[in-house]
Amino acid sequence: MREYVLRRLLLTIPVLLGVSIGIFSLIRIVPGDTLMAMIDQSGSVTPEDLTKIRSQMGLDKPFPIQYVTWMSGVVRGDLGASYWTGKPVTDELIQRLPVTMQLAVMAIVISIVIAVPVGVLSAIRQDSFMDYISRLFVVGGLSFPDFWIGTLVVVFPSVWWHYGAPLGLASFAEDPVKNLLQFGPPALILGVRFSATAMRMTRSQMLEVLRQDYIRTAWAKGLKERAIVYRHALKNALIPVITILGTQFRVLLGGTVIMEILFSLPGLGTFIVEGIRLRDYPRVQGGVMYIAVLVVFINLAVDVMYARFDPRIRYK
Amino acid sequence: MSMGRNRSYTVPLGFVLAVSLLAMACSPSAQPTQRQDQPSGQQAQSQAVGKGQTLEDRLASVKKLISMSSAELRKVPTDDLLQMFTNTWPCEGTPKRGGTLKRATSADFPHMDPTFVTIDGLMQHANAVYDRIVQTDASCDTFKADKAVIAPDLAKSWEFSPDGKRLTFKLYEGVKWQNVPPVNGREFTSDDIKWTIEHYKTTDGSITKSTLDAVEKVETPDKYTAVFVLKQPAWYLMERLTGFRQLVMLPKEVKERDGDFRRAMIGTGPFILKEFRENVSITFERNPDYEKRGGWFKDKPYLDRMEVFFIKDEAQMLAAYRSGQVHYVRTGGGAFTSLGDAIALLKTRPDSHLVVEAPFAGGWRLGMRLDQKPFDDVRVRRALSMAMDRQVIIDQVYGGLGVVLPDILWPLIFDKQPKQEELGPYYQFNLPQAKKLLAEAGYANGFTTEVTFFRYGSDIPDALAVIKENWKELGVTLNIVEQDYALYNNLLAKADYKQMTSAWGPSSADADVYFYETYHSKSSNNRYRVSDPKADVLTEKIRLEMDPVKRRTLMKEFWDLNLDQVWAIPRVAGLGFRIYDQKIRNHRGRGGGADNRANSLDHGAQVQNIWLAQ
Repeated sequence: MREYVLRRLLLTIPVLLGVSIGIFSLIRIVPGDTLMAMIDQSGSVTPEDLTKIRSQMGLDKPFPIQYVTWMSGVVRGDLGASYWTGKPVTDELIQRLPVTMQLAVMAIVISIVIAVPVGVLSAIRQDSFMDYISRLFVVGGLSFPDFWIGTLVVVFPSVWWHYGAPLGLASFAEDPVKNLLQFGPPALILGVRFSATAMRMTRSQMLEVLRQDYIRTAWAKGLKERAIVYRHALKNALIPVITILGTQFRVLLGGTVIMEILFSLPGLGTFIVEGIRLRDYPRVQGGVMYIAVLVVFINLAVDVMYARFDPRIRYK
Repeated sequence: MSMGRNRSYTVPLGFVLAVSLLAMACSPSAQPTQRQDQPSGQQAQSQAVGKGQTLEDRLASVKKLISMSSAELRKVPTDDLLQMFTNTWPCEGTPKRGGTLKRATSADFPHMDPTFVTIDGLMQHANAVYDRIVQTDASCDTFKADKAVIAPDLAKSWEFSPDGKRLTFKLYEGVKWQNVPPVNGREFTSDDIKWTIEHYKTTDGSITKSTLDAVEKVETPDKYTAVFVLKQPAWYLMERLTGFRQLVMLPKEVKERDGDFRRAMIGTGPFILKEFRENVSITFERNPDYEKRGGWFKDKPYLDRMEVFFIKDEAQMLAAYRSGQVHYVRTGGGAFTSLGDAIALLKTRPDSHLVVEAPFAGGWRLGMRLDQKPFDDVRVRRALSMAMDRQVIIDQVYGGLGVVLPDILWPLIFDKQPKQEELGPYYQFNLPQAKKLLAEAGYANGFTTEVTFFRYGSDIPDALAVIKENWKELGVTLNIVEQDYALYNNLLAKADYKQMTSAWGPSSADADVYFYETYHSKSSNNRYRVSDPKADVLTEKIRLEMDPVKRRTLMKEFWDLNLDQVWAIPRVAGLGFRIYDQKIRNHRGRGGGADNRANSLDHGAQVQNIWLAQ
């Protein structure tokens, strides 16, 4: 296992290198210029000044030089400074990560809490009323766009009850109630939505596992349903579910921009999207690299968890 | 355990369909209010929505408005709306000290330095913290929606020399910078003006460099006198100094400490920046030294605090207003452009002010590359303008509430708003004549062109869609291309868009921007690449003419030339509808079209006048 983990860690180097080249190139292919975005409607800057500023920002250098300059900082942990704010991108990411992390963790927990029990129950009570309700839930969860649900969640309580989520971000430590009122609705929406996929996978995996011979044997031996389901069947059924949950967690950690905007949560998603809008190259590059590193490590963690759940899996 | 076969999904799908239909049925109607009258801009008395301008009258009128059916709303004359919900209502009682004004805005800002960035997102906060040499007065008893009343700010008086080349300011004595390190409350003097102007003129990338072209230097004969020495007479400099987007006075200590003004906002203004949480909120507290200037400044600001929350999503913003967490919200476009949308919000918050604003210049216009075919031919430009059915845009996009004006502030030239019929033949819908002109220009079969836009508001693509249909009759195919913010502004600022663009125009009380800055061939703000010797001569004359009467005559001459040459094609300017908590008092809204006029809540200027009824 140790060798496997080390090998995977070494493989992250070419992966991250590829990501860095990709994002560096792509953001510069997008037409538009950070300087012009800064000027907006307000006035004009002479061409001479623009040339001077571009030179000060290093934007007049050839792309390979710009890339090497940036990467030489990245390997030292310096993701550069935002063109707009002047602040180190690392500091900005650290500031935003708790928001995204809390949203992601809450959403995944909700997803698991709903998906696993409902999926299991749906499988063991196949074709019952409970099963139909849960499958209906799956269809709904997969069909209704989360931005639509989110907008309804924002609009209708304000119209009917004059209720709006409290303004001004509060951490859980500062004000747990306010924090939960702010994070709860988007986490619930995301969690319910993601649980639909996970529940569906749980159900189908459980159905498959429950048809295995060793389960039949367990029944024949007279084991209780609870023991069969939770001690024997569920562990095997969960492996693909873990994959899905891992994927969902990666998506969430990348920042769900729509939820962040809808519920005014300044997370990683809005950070990167705003960076694209403003052509703030260091922000976009740094943000994407940050997420790439997280994804790589989450993938590794998921793979390691497989071995924990399934003793047959051994990494060499 | 059941091992049965799968059932069909008919029931679940049917349930989903039913829910969707129910949701659609329950959603508020988004039908535009079709109106039967045309806005004339004339002031008229009416009983339809109430009379008088007291607070009680206005609130009663709001209640009446929201109780009307769509049919009844269509019958309310536009002038009645403008009259009753005008932004020039009288002062509301005796101001009281105290309270925290809370508002929400979607416009955030990347950093705090007004040298480089002067977007609304920044200036709405900067204008509460910084002062200017002079300001636009929006006191409730002197505010005029169509005229900039220049009032003291850091300077108590000013005077042009007879030749117009020296502008002398006498400053208030004892004005202090805010007591925040590294400035620490020292006195503001004429040296600060000199330093600031030089900073703007010499800093690379300074956005306000070109606005100070006429200024050669600033002399400081004593601590409380600053003299602008001008390269040429520049009557417009006074209004330029009041412009809400620029020329705030900056403390040199911040630059000496930080190298720029990106991370600190310390001024002499009514509010001190207390806390800034990026993308979350910004908080200000009263500057206790502000009122010491006395006179107009006495007792101001009235508010103890201001809190501004950054909310990107409009639904969330409106929810914050409905739930009473904020007193005002500024949506992306700054105001509702639809009466229906405004009423929908008012129904959930009937305890609100409504302000209806008429613009004083054309709104969005179609900018054209006048250095390219076919737009270099005036017949083509005239034809396109005549083929645009602006009444349809008014009816379909603005619910019948809009005005047709060129992109020059009419109050600069006229005493009352010109009607569309008075704007000449090229602003009237006349398809046969348009076709004739196009044929004369050699485009009898039409042509294909492209217009780019950024979605500042939904009215922009809607209006372009109407124009696209109009121009089909002319044989002109209009491809509409949406661009993102950076690209759109990039191309517009450099006049580098392909063929046509939906262009924003000047938004300032500075009259010069409507003439020289926009239309002179050598201006860096000439976004249509106008190159007309007549325009150059006239705009230069306007710039140099110190006599206001003669200047007005020249402006009128330019107005006529602009209408004749159709350098840009104005579309329709919709009325703006703003909604505020009725506890807000003495706020004066946006004086239509020229953003410099009293933008207390949108642009931070004049917030010292506002007070909150408890």
